[in-house]
Amino acid sequence: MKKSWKIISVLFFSAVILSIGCRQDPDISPSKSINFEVPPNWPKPHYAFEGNTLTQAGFELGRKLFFDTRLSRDNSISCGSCHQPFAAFAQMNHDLSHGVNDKLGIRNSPSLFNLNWHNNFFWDGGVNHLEVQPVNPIQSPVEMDEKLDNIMVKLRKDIDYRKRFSAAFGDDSIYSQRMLKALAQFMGMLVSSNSKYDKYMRGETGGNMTETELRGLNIVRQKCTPCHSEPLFSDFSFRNNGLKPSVTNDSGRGRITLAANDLYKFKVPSLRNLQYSPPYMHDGRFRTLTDVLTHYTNDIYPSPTLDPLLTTGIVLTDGEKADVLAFLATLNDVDFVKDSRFQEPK
Amino acid sequence: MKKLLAFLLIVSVCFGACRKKEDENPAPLGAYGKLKISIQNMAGTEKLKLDSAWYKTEHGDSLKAWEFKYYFTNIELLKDSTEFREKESYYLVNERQDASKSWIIDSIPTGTYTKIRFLIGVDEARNTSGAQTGALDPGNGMFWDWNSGYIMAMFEGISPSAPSPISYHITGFSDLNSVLRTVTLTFPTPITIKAGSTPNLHLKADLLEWFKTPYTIDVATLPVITTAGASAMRMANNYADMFSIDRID
Repeated sequence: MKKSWKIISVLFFSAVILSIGCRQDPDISPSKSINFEVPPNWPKPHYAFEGNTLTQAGFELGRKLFFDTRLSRDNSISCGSCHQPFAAFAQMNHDLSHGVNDKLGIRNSPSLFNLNWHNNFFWDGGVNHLEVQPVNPIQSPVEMDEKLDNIMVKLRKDIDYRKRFSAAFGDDSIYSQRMLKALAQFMGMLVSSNSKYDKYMRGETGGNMTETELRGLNIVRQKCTPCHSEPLFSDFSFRNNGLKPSVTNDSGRGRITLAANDLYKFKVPSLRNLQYSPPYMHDGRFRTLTDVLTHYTNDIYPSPTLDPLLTTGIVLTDGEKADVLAFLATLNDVDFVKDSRFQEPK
Repeated sequence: MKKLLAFLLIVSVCFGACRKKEDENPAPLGAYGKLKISIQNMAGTEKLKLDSAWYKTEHGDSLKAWEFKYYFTNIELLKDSTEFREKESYYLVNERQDASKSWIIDSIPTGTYTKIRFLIGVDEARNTSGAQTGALDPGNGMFWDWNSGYIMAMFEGISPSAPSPISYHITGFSDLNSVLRTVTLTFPTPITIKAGSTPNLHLKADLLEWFKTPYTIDVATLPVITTAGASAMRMANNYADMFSIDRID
């Protein structure tokens, strides 16, 4: 009897040691998997984390990286500097964003949400996968101007990162593929699907649209599609929407494909969350949505690659413009911009 | 004492349980062997030297080399009926790094092989499927970050004939502009792969082949190629025959 107690106690202490030996750091979430949910009636996403198992630890690592200024050469800016959660991950009131040493790029920092439905990235679609998207701003001399290898050196010095990479990927090796996959987990999770419009479409509480808003929805359906088609409010095509080229003469998609018929085409942005993400257009030239509507009704600039749907502009009465603006406001997703999961960690 | 031993045993088993398993499927002894591949970059009949030596192209232009790198991937060994295809077969040969110029392929089924086949460049799948690592790490400086795709082969240098430094960053993986070129070389005598020995396949790669056959390159008119398209594809046709077998020992 006495002997068996001793054996039991030995087993008990062994079990305790086992559990301590295997336990993750308490302030880092264990590597439990996360289900990526496609909102009802939405198309299948282009990227569903294939080869990149979505976990709580991976997502949180990606979030820490997203807001970490060490990803820039002089440790001054993070992804989140130009992609702020309260601005639907655009940069509020900046037509162009500042990189290191206050260098300016040539394009407006786009809002970030529903990225898994995009099959390419940037205004010109030059990057073909969400996981390699961050390499561009990290290495761009006018953005973060840093080398991937230098970032790895910085991250490896940080014990918290070693713990987090270990929790996310099984061991504490830190290399660019893991960083990029973690960033993709965070960015891919940024789904905005809870606007008033979404609730209306799902027949939920809070989805009662006013007469004006419904008229606006119908106008958008008639006059703004197929470019801004539901439910993502973009068909993700590249189009020349009649903006007069500025002094930078940004050729857009043409720079990527080198095809003459792609000159001055840019990716159609979503109409979601516009309230949070002014200014508008690829170069941030319009400060208000009224300016944007006036562009489409009055100021289309003709050129060989102008989208055929815009050759005569869009005809809207003042009343219709008011309806459209009212509808666009129903695409603002306050739950998304305030989602605690997506905020900069304290 | 026995209990102490039992305790230690249990504890060690417990810690062992936390560790990741390695080599879950070791190759059975005897059935597999190895092959070493060693590459010597050349400039015609001379061993390539970066930064110092001058070489002459087919067109007659003098040339000094600064960088010479290329992807050597998707290695296969062929014999009459069966073949061996290496998994995760991606190597970045960089003249500046000796360690990149030889490597050992293991887990090759024993037997006699007559040919090697490989790709110059990175296959389309790895250009389009997200973040990669190892030889394909975008930090290696062979990945276009603003227009996705690997630089399959790179030459940089200078020539008094050229109006600017020479910069050939050969890229393009899609059907329309692919610079991917498959190379097949027949061994002068068949290589026998067996356990306990590692034959060394010495390959030569001649930089000057970039400048001739089928297209004679005039560096004055074509000092820079950095985008996918016709010039890049021509250059790929030129360098597709830069490899030859030196010897096997």
